[in-house]
Amino acid sequence: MDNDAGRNQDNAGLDLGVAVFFLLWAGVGWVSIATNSSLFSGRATGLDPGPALLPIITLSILTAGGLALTVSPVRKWMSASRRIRWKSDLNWRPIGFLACVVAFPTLMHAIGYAAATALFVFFWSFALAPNAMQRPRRTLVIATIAALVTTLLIYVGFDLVIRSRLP
Amino acid sequence: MFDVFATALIEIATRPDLLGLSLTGVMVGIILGALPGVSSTMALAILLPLSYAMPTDAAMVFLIGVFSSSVFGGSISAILINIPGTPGAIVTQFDGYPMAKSGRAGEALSYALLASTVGGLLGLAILSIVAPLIASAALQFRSPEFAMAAIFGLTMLAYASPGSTFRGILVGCIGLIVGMVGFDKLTDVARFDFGTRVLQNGIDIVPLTVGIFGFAEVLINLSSSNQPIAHVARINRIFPPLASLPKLIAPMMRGSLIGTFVGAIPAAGSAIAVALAYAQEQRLSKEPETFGKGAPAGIVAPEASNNACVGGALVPMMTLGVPGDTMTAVLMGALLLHGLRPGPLLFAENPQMVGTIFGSLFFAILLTLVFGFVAIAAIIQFLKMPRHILMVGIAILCIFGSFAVRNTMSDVYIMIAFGAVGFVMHKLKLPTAPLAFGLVLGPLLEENLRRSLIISRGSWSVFIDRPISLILILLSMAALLYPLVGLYRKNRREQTG
Repeated sequence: MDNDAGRNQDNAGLDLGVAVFFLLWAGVGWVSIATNSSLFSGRATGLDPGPALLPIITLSILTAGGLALTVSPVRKWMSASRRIRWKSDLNWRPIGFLACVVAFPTLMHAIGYAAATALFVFFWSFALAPNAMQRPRRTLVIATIAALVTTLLIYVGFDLVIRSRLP
Repeated sequence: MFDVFATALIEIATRPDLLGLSLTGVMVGIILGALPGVSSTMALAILLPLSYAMPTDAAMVFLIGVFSSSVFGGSISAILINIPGTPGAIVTQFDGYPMAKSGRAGEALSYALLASTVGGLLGLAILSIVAPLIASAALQFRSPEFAMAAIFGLTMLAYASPGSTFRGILVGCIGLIVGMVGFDKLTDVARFDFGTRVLQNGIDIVPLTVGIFGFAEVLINLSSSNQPIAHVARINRIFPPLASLPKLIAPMMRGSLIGTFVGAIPAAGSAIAVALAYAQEQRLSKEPETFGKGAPAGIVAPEASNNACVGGALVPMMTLGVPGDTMTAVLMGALLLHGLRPGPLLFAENPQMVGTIFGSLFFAILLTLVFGFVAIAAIIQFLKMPRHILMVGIAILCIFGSFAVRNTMSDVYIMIAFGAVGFVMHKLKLPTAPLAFGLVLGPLLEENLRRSLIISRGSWSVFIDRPISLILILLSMAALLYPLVGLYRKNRREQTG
């Protein structure tokens, strides 16, 4: 019985997260439409229903759907001692990795794409390696090789072959 | 159509650059498909930007090489380490791995390779016969039919998505909104731009697909525990016993037909096709108890089906402009990137490109067979590559790939943002594919919806007055209502039982 209540609380947390996700998108969309006066300025000519038609239909479905999805978690919340358990299985790796990727373009502008790539690949190849602390020398060698090979491949593929203007 | 196909074959065979690109695509596709954690869609998405600098025909030859061969690549890891490289190879491991464990890994791989070739060629044959017929029928389509075909494609994808159809529809709506970001083509009014120039240019298909199919997968892989380097089964001789082949022709043919048919249904996907092909063979077998213990028919039927899906999935994309699965959605993105819109008009206005696509697929299938047999021992060495280094490399490729298309850093940030969105959606157990479908189909839907309303002077009845449009509406409604009927029946059973 306790397990059922716990599962209900976990599901309610996830379902509420889903509903919030959709409502957030809908909210951002509505704000954009509400602040965009040219959308309703009558630039659509003749019988054209105008550029606001599909956005309004889509956002209405998204909003109604998001609201409908809140019903189930709220009902579960009512029947499960009015507490929602937020089950989180996140670990630091994807979050730290994402943060570094966000900073990567800035690093690239500062030190150039080759150095930035080598540094990024070296750091993460070392940081993510299983048993890095038990076998540090081996991990360092592998990370160095990975950094050099990746940088070389990026140079050949993007700089030489497709001639992209890399910073 | 046959002469266009023949011309394309001669063109590819006599141009070393195209032949070289096809071989490169096949090599890269097999290797990426074989690596666990890299799906065929991810392989296509991360390589899509590289094709931008190529001429359209060369880009198609390269990407179709990756597309077709990565499907076989997925079965290598399924057989050797019991982890399917792609979702379509999930059934191959049932009999492939037991065979590999009993010291017959080479034999299992050769069955998979031969079945892939047979399935791929049969799928291509059916594609080249059926697609022109559907395309000429679809030439009768007008704006209402195209608008409803786009809605049908979106609802089918939502229906086939894992989890709830309703949530899939809502994700598709997000895709439609993302597709509407930027200037409206008819009125030049900017939408969802928040006054920023970056968003006024619209969201390109490349950063979005690279983000949700490439970078998000990297984050998902990093969030799971450290994977040890796989123990790869040893390969002996890479050729099947000739005496066993005649018995396997019928399972290959049946698997191919199932794969082509299921693949042609928008959004049905290879996972359904291989499951059906496997179940069918087990049902027809005189020794069903051998399935799951290394039965060759349990490898060839799903493998043929998996590869036949490639040809099948190209049917709706090429004839109606509605992608058959996520891989064809990325491929459609490549065509859009090069200024070509798939659909019936492609057959009428640019038959050479249709021929190039068919020819590329033909060469990709043959080169997969040759490269597979010649280089399988070398390919499996890549399975020993540490997963974390692979993921770091793919992340770097995602960054440079999304930058390279328009040489703008804003595309990199858009890719990162959609990678994060894809990761959050994975955590919320939401399907990501409808997002890409919404982006691809959104412009088709909006343009034809508005044009229909202009033609009908604002009357929405135009969509039900035309028979094909009405049929598409009814099919879309069936896809939406069927899960609700199932839910209602389940609730009633629970109440009465």
